[in-house]
Amino acid sequence: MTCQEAQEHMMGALDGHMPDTERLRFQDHLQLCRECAQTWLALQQVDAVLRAAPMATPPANFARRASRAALETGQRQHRIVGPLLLGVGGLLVSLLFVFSALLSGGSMVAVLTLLLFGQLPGMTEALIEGMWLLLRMVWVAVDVWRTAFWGPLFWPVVALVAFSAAIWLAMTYITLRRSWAAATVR
Amino acid sequence: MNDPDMAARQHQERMWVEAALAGDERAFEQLVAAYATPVYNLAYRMLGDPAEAEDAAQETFIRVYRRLHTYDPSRKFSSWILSIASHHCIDRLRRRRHRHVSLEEMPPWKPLVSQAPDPEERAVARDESARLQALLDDLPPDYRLPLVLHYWYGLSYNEICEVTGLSLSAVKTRLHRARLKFADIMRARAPDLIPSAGERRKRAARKAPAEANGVGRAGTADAHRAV
Repeated sequence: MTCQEAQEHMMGALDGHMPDTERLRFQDHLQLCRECAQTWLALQQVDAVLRAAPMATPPANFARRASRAALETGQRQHRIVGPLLLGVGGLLVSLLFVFSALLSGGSMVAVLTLLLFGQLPGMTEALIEGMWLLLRMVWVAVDVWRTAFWGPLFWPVVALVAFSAAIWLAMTYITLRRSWAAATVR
Repeated sequence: MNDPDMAARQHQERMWVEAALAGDERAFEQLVAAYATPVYNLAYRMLGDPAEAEDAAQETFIRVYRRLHTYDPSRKFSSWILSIASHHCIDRLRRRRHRHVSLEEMPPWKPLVSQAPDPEERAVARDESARLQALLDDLPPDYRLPLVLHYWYGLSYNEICEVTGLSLSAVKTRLHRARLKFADIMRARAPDLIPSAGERRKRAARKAPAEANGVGRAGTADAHRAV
């Protein structure tokens, strides 16, 4: 047996994976080679010390605190997911809205008119007018989307919107993560 | 290994996981109680600082709770949870390296609560344990993890692969190098910790039954008995 082989066998010998035939050859080599015998002794010592090492135990109330922290974070996460989805939805719809309004030009005026309708003398008429404008807006928006789909600007703008939405999402996530982390350190 | 005990425990854990997934908070608390010591010990052995270990162990349980729905019941729960804890500790060590915090700057050792029976023996064991930890901290984290998983959790090479995501040959190499390096460190820094031949035999005999408890030596077994 060479020193190289003996070294390789030391692992197996420590962990009980050594065939009996090899064991004899291994022991013969240790009788002859002082260096390998020393390594083997050192490894056995390490093995004995580490086997005897105790398990470190956490403070008495640790399990209670840890499970409470985990359960609370879970609940907080549930409370956050709903508003988060709502926020993302709202953001996407408003981006779509602004995008359509900008593209349709004329309906931008309609958006501005809507803001004024509370100050007009005839509230009902204004309301109806507003609703009508809104309806037209939707129609125009649909029309714009339909025509814009074939236009050259469509995909760049969609990419821009998607990109900004992604940035916004990432920032929200980072902020939330930080607040989660802060909540768990007590 | 005591197979009927192991099977019963795995069955119990599976029940807890299912109940916790169904919203039973008590079941999750029992899982945490059963794994508090193994997870804490892993964090302590990897990070070397009791306060940081507590923090890391708590974070591990938060992750476990969040990812419980991804747990595959065909795997051993202990491997799954130790894997989450290991990865979290390695992440922390990486972040620590980026912050350039050296071992010397770390907080001083707090004494460990040992399981030795009488106070005198306990004090000696505590001191020895802290010194042992200081030596362990000198190993590179990549070597330390397989060593801790092998000695404190009695994991086989294959189980270490499952927990760490390393290949079998990588686990064998690292474990071997970790032992060699630990031998060097021990010889250089704590030659008095090296046991005599007689003591070695005595220790091996004493430790053998404790390991039959499976994961986490006496720690998990105690926790399970307490539940």
